[in-house]
Amino acid sequence: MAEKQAAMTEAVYYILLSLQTPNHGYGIIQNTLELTKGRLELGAGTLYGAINTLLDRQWIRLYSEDKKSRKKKQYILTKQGLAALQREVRRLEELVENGKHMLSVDSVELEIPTGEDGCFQMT
Amino acid sequence: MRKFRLYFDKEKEEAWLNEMCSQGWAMTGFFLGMYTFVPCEFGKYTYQVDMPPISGKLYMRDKKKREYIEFVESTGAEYVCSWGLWLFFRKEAVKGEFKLYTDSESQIRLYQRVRLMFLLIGLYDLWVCMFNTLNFWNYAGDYLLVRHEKLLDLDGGLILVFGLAVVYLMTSVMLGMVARLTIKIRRLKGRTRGFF
Repeated sequence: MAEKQAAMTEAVYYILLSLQTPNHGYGIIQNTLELTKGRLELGAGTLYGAINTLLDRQWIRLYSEDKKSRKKKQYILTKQGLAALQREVRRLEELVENGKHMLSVDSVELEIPTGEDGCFQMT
Repeated sequence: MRKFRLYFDKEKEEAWLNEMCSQGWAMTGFFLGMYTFVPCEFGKYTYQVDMPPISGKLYMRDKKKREYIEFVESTGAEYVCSWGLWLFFRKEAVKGEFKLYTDSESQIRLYQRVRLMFLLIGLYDLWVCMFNTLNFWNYAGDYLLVRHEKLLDLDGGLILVFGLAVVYLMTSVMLGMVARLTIKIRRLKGRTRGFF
């Protein structure tokens, strides 16, 4: 998985983005809501599973554990996590740039297939 | 108030709990199909039934379960009760939408956990079925085939037949759930692959 990285899920992507500074579970949810303007609300089960996978993969680590207020377990990005995040951002940049570029060039003379061959079906 | 229901599909169970809550009954306890309800404001809570990924050594599981509950509670939800591997959570409806699993990937993993549990129970039931059928035949085969006696006239015949029917029913429900969950998982996998 490490060399040839598959696309991250949105959850993993926003968790990593939120953990450049120490943050706890609820903070990640709030941060993701803010960044996506309310589009993506991470469920607690989804977040818990993703955090554990990321801990196993050592992309994030436990930053601090407040014993008194039990719910404040904070996590932070590791070097590997940061590298993975940067790779993903570059990959996404390439996608977006190519998309914008190709669309702006071709959209003038675009011929929309009539759909008989089914290659342009919107789903 | 108490109500007895057997749910094997957690979505249907959640829908029922939310329906009860919209009628002013909040679920507070569960034991072996028996649900406890107390009066509440109409539609005060949204319920979620969960089977979290708690694995590892047995003596660690209790701690992990507590950690998981604390984690979910830190997001504004409330722990209701647990039964076996199942956990029940609720969140006040005014605090917003409540969904524990928000992407297909985590839903797939949830359904895989649930499926594994049903599969193990189903296989165990299947073994019990075969064992008991064999036993039953050893005992009753002669009476039925050679002496042409009626099944229900045998000593304990009714109990035998009833017992067998129950284990066969359980086996088919469990393995049926495995099949249904497999279909669900396949549908979700199609969704994670995107449009094409």
